[in-house]
Amino acid sequence: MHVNLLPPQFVWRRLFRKRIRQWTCAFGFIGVTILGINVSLFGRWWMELREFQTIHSAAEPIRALQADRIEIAKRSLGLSQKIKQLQAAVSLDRTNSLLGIISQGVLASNGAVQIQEMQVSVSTSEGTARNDQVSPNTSRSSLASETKTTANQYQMTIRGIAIESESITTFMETLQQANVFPKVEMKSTQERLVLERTLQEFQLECLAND
Amino acid sequence: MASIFPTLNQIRQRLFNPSFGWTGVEIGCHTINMAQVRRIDERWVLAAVWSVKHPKSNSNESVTTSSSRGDKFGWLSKEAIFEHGLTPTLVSLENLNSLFQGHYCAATLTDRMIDYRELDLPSVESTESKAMVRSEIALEVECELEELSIDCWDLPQSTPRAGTSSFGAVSIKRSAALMIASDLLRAGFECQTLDAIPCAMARSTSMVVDDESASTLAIDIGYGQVTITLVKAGIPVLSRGVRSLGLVTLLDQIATSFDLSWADAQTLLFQSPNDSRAKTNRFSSPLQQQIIAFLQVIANEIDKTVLYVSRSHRSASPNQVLLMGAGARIPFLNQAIEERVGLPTQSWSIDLSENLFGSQPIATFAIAAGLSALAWELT
Repeated sequence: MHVNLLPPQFVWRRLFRKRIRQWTCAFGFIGVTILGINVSLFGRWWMELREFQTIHSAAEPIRALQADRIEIAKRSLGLSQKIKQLQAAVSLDRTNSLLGIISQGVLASNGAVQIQEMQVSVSTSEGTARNDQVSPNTSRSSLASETKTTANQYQMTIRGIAIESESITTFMETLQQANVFPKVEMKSTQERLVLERTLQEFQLECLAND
Repeated sequence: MASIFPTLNQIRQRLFNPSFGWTGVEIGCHTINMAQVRRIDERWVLAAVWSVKHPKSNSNESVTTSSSRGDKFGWLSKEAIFEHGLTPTLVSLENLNSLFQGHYCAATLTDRMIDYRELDLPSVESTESKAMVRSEIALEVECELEELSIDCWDLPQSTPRAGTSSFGAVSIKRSAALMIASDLLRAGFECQTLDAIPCAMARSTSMVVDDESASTLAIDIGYGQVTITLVKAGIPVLSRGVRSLGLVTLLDQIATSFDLSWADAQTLLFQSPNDSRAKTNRFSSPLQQQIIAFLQVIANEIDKTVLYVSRSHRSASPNQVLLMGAGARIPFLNQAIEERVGLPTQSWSIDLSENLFGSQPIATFAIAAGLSALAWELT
């Protein structure tokens, strides 16, 4: 048991101080809790921002490469358009150039090979060609277009006379070395007596493309 | 593992049932004794103690019996304490509260600074009885009711009479109580209760006497007076203060007889004889003769009290005597009183905390410890 001789005014004052202290503690605790939560959320947001900045800076070279690629594609497109324009303006005669090449081969044989007859036939075939074009305005996907194309194939049949068979071989090698005829094929050879001299009559077939 | 990881129950106890009590402050005219107790597994341990002497007063008004007492002994009168408060004593102890756990304290005033009376009043309801006690005391001391701070408790009637109740009542001037509490607050202690000596003594007695059926005669031998309180089951059944029987009287006699200062007289009184011859002939020297005379007076007062109790409070006849206060430090006091009174006598003592080293005069802090234990009674 106990007694208390403290005056009521002191007791009330003490209780008031105690309540003030308790409420201060309670509000302080709530404040610290809210602050902690805010710091936690802000910290997470800050981390995300830093992560985004890191990724953004790491992707910078890739973006530069992509820009270069777009520029190159744009220039390539321009060049191909110019080529088409030039090709349209200057139409080359393929047959004449092929004849020129064959003539060069004959000249190289020093008269050992003579052409008696030459027949050129041109066949045209239609096909589809796929063009991959990259548009300057698109960054990633390429625009694929399919266009119909025409290709000429030249079949040349050469009949002539040679002094000996080695001369024919040399003539064929000369034609092959010109890199124009993907196919040079001997069709036939036979001996022929001309002015009491045995000569070699031959027939060749050459194929060329545009 | 169990000691490393406390159980949930232990955590709850630590959080909501702290082991430290309040700081008990016993304010006397000579010293202020402070103590704090701990409760470890239902065991009381004295955790911290401190004793502060009042500074020597230069004013002749502050002495009680003679000017030399005030100058030599640092004695302040009740009037001086109520006039100037405790600020001169506590002003130099700004960091004293760091010695104790917490800042709550329970205080009491000794040396007749709180008046104690026993009143027989007509039986009424408890709320009215307190008002009646207040009015009675106000009439007796010829003081306005608003100027007094009064509290009381029921006493078992010595001779039961129909329609009456007995009260133990304590009173102090409200301004004095307010000043003491304010001074303590200024020193860093928030005073929760201003208790009375009989209640504090009863609580101190309960700390060392486990048997609730035993009646204990608790005797506080202070500097200003000897207080005898009969305690049964933790309640002060009877209390009486024997004025002019404080240690001051004995110290004054010793100082005068041997032409010593008060401090030397106190050292001489409390020193323990070393050799065995002194122990066997402990009351043969002139000093001991003076102590015997002092003890004889105390023994006579105890006999009177025991006689009164045996006649009027038969159910509460004392079984033992418990000594506390500064006077309990006098060597062989237990045996001397036991021989004269014929009751088993012991000094108040509880275990000391490990941070208290040396020989502490534990009984001196008995009342302060009893005040400290109020923490468990009020929370």
